[in-house]
Amino acid sequence: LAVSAATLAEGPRQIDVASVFDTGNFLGAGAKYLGDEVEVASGGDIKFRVYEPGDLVPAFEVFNAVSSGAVDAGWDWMGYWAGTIPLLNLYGALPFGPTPEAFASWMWSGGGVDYIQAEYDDYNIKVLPCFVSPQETGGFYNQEINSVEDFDGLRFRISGLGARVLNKFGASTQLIPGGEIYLALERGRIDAAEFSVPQVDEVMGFEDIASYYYFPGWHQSASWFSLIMNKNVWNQYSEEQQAQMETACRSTLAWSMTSAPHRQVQALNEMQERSDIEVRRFNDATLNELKAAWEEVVAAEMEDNPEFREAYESLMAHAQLIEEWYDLQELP
Amino acid sequence: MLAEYLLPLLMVACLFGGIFTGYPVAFVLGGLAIIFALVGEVPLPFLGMMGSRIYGGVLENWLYIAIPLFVFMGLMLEKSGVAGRLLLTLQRLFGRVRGGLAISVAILGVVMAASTGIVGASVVMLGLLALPVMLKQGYRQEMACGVIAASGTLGILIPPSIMLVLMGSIMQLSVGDLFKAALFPGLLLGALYVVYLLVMGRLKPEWMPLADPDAEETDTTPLAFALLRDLVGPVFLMVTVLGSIMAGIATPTEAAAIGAVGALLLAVIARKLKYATLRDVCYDTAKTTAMIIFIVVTATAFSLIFKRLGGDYMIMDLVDSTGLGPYGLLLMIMLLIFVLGFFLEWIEISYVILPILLPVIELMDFGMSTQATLVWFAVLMAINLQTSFLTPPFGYALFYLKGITKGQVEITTIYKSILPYVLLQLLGLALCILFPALVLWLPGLV
Amino acid sequence: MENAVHLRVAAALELASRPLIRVGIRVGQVTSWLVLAVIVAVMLTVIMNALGMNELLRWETDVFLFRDAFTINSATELQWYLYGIFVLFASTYALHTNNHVRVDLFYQRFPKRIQHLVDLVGHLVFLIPFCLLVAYLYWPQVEMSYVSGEQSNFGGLGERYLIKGALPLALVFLAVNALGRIFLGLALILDPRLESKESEHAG
Ligand code: NA
Ligand code: NA
Repeated sequence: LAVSAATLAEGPRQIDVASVFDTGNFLGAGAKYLGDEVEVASGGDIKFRVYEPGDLVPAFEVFNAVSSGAVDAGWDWMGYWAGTIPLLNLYGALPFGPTPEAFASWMWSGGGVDYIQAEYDDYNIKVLPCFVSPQETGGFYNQEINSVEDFDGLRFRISGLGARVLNKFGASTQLIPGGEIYLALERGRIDAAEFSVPQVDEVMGFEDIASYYYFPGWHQSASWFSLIMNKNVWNQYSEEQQAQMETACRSTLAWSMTSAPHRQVQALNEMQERSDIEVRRFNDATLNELKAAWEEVVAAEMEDNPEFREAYESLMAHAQLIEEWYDLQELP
Repeated sequence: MLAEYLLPLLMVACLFGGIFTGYPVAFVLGGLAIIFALVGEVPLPFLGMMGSRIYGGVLENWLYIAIPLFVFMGLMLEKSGVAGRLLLTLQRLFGRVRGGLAISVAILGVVMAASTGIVGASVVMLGLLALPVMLKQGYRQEMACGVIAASGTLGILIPPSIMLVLMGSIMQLSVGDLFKAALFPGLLLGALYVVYLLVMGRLKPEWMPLADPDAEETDTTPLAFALLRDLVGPVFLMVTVLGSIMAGIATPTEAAAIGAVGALLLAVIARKLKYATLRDVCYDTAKTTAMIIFIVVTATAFSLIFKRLGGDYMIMDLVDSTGLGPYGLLLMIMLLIFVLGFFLEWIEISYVILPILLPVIELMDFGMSTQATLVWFAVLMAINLQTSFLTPPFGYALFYLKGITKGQVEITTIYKSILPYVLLQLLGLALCILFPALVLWLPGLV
Repeated sequence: MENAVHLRVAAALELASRPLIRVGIRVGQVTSWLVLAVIVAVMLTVIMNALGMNELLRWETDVFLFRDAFTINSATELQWYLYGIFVLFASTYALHTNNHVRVDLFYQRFPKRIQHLVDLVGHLVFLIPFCLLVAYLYWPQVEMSYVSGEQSNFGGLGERYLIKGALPLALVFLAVNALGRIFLGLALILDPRLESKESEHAG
């Protein structure tokens, strides 16, 4: 009946969580869902108070605020912090990466969490990757894309490693603040913009002002969202409570993977009913050239960044095993 | 409730007391944030967020870059004499219409509103351009200040508007729908201002005199020629700024830089661009921008602490404690927002109010679809928040205007000047409540 | 009478305030010109966008701030680096030129001495604690940005710590300048005759 000191430890009953997304949309709703699950798992001992973006700190400052202990925790898209931890490009938006299912498998059973936790350790942060979004879209376009030549001079609001691939074909990839994307696209200040999955894009009203909605989202085949917690807060909880939060986290992950895919097609259908938007696919030749360019970009990235190389090779090897398994099981 | 919310209430009381000592508003806001953080024993790491909010919300937020650019444009036009001649010629154009100059200002305000959503930028620019001319012509200070402050705030309602983008994202409404929905109400308010000015021209002609007849005689240039001479440049400038947005050459922020370059060119053409002019414009741009931005900087610290001390729970309790029907609740919410607007920023109000109210509003039955109800409510709230820029004693638009009058105009005069416009705002709000079609027709939600 | 202690103290305080105020105004005036640089940076973004250009220049080795290329996003981010420095130091300039907004309903009816007293107490109780505390608490974030080599996530600028560091630096600068105003205010309270001399120096 020895009760270890660790299980007696007690952290705050309410955790302040600064979200980088409005909790009204699917991406931010993950924070609320996780909070509910934590409350259930801990028998009501631990609750989340989720703050809207900017309510406590501006979205882009959440990482620093959690690291310094100003806020207990944050709910984020991991790619936001790639300016500080370049490895996060891999988790945020990996072009031609594995599916959400394969990525999740690597994350929890292939060591994926360890690679990032090692990086977050430097910032006194505990990371719990709890949410993976479906493949994003290829973006809203006001020009047809029939070959990679059409990317030349295309003014595209896109971020991350995918932008570097497009730069190789002469695209002008840019930063437009969230509040100005709509007008910029409507008026033609930019020719295209990618934002998120259809369920989230739907709210932006882009379908009214763009001609084409392209697929697939080759630049971001799965993207991770996580709970980040200041370690001083995390360490105050007993092992049991920490395990409760991890359980809640995996339950949230399952929710994100199961509740999203069909919703995207419903959202897509709604958009098509309401507007004249035309849903299209990039042709195979275009995708193949993009893939070839991506291989150059990723080779350069691996050269510059040994942590990225290690994690990327591990991820792709893991994904390969999964692919072989499904190949073996494929039915005609 | 009083004991429970002692600190947030005391904080508001001290804010009001503090600003009336005459010590700069911006510093009162920042100082109170620190004092109450210490009194309320807010942990130090939490206070660290103040810096993050300033960095992320003000410095890294490049929508604010439009402020120095529009201020620069306004100062350049003023110092090169281009602005003065423009408004005088406009006055001649309006002929014998009493208040023609004031009406020109209101129209200019609507035009500015279509190019920017930053209240500080529009109020300061309109003020720099129009105030000296209006006062020189013998306008009563109340008449001149009111129209400038009110028209300068239209930008936050008339699209493009960052306020609507934020509300859209909180309420999960299409930004496009909100832009369409806010257009008529914005224009309606502009029209109400014009009607008011026409009426006042009849009632109090001595408050807004026509151009000095002597001055008119000295300018013997035929009107058509004067128009060509004085209007071509500024009209070209306005068309360039708006046109660059419409033609997709620039975002609204970028259009401000195009305006600044255009103003420089006009000064060159008018042969008024000397080193000393450029230097003074740069210096004044810095001081004026700092005046606007530093209020934003410290207000962000103030509201952080206000919420931390329970201010947001206080507001939630207020909403929860009512047991009213849909219209009663709507009016009560509108009243609440109006009162909060006396001392909180629109961003803070949106974040505190909307998430709590959203589920309530969705369930309210006004005889229209949920989608329409939400869009309608968002626009009503937007009008209300626009009004909050104008309500004394803590109206940002009033402060910005005060900031550029260099002591010529007292704050009491500005307070008095704005009252009729606050009433017009409430009238506009009432019209949109009574006739939801004003809001819902354009987005096709009727 | 000329040599009364309080007059000598006033003279000393006034003397001490001079360099502080002069530096505050001078720095503000120099950084004011950055508004022109902001305009150039925005126009560069507009022009590069109109031409559908992504890169203006690319070079071999990483250099300070611009890393290895000048892209459209470098121009975009340059806008707010420049704007940030411009606006931060302008706040001190505006302090000296009395441009910060007051609700002067009563203030303007106060005698000069009381006006100085209000400002003096305000600087001590409101402004200086705000500046110093925010700067002190933000400093670790600047250090973190420096240590981690934080940079643009969009192929823009490097050296994020520069603009982050400008915030506490400017706030401390503002606090020091407020101290200068306190010295001057005390001097004017002790020796109102300095007032006439003062108006000659108004920035
Ligand atoms: Na606007
Ligand atoms: Na107000």
